[in-house]
Amino acid sequence: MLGYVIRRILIMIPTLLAISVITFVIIQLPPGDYLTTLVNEMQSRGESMDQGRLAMLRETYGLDRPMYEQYALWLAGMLRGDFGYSFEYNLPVSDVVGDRLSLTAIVSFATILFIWVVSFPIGIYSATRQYSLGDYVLTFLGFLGLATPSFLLALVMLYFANVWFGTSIGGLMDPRYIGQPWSWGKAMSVFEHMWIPVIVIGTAGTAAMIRRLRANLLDELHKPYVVTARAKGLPPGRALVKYPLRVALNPFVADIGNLLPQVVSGAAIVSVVMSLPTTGPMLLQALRSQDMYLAGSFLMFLAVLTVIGVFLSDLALAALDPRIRLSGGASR
Amino acid sequence: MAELPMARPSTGETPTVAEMRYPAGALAGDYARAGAGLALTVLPLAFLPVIPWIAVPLAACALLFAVFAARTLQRQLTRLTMDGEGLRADGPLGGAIRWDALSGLKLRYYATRRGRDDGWMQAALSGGGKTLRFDSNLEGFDAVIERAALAAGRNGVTLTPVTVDNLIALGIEPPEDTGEDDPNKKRPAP
Repeated sequence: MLGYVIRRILIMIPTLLAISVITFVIIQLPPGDYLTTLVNEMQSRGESMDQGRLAMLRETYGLDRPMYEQYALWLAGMLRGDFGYSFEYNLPVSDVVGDRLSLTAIVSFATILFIWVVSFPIGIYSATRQYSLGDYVLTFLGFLGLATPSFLLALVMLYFANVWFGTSIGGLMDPRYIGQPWSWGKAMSVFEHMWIPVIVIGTAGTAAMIRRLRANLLDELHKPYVVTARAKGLPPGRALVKYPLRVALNPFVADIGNLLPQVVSGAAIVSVVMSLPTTGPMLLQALRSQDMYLAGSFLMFLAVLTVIGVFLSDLALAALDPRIRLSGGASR
Repeated sequence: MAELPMARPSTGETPTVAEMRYPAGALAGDYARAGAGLALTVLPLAFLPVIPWIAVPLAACALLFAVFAARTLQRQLTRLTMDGEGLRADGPLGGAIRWDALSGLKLRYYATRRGRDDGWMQAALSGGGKTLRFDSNLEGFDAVIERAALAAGRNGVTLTPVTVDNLIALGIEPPEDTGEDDPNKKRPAP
């Protein structure tokens, strides 16, 4: 297993470097830079900026340097914890992001937990009781969850949460805690507000997971070895858990890698609708205004999550099913 | 990389004494991996003021690469000897297992590509309180596994379905039904 881990890490590091290059190039691709966008905005308002001051700002922010030099400085800075400077906020990126990263991590973790806790038992129930009333009801709810746009569900949930539970609309905490240091009251306020975004963001993922687990498990349950195990008198629970469930979990585990970044990036629109102080809305704004270091840092954060997620799911898969595929060939 | 040769059909004959080592090419590849990994992790730690959030995973990776380098050295110094009596590993972390004392055989397959080709097998043989681990880079790997499968069958060792599948993939006939999941059959005493 050590050899496998080593090989995977050796693939992971160059992958992250390649992603950082691509991210940086893509951010630089649109014509002009942040200052050009700023000048255009000022001109549209009938204002103007002195060319000398513009050149000075360009030099201050390093925008006059070659792209490879800007990239090298950005990369080396990230290792030191300096993610660059946000032109729009006139602050270091780390200060701009502030609480948003931790709040995003809390919401994402809670959403993934919600997806797993809800979809796992329902998927097993639907597969083991195929075509029962419960299976039909849960399948219907699953399709409904897949088909409903998250932002629409967000609006509906916000309304009912306010009418039925008196929870304030939007945000992840009561307005009096915004900008305040963490306290027990603030944590409880976040906890109280979190269930709405968690359900909204997690619904589509939960529905998809239920469908996938049900399909995988049904495939396994219809295989001859399960029929044989039952015929030999193996208790139904053991005949389910011992092999079919374990094999059906393979695609489920393989999906962890995609789940993490999907939850973080896919929640951007929901975050805008629900006024969540997470990273999504800020990333959208940074991309629109070509705030390159802020946008680049967010995109790198998503890339790191993806690569780590895929790494973890590959490790779990290797531990779960270290089996050769007879169609493929092994080599020395 | 050469194809993993299929083992010859099981004859039950006592094989002659065979000495096996890891080929230089495979070891060179692993040394290169360890070196590249150490360079990618240790150099930034040594020459840049890295923040703890990044330094800790980098240091953990550096430690893993160091352990991997040590393991590669151990494999380079190891020489396996197989005869009718058992299997013996001479070198660091060496040991010996008699075939009639073999109580465990695990065969795992790992591959880093999505298509799961170009992978390698990892074997773990246990018995008499000793475990010997080696992989399919070893010269004569399939012959050792074939002999171990035969001994496992004779000793009534329970093999996992993963090991059975991997044995079949190597062209080695797995031992008869080992009784796993059969409620009517008693498991052999360890």
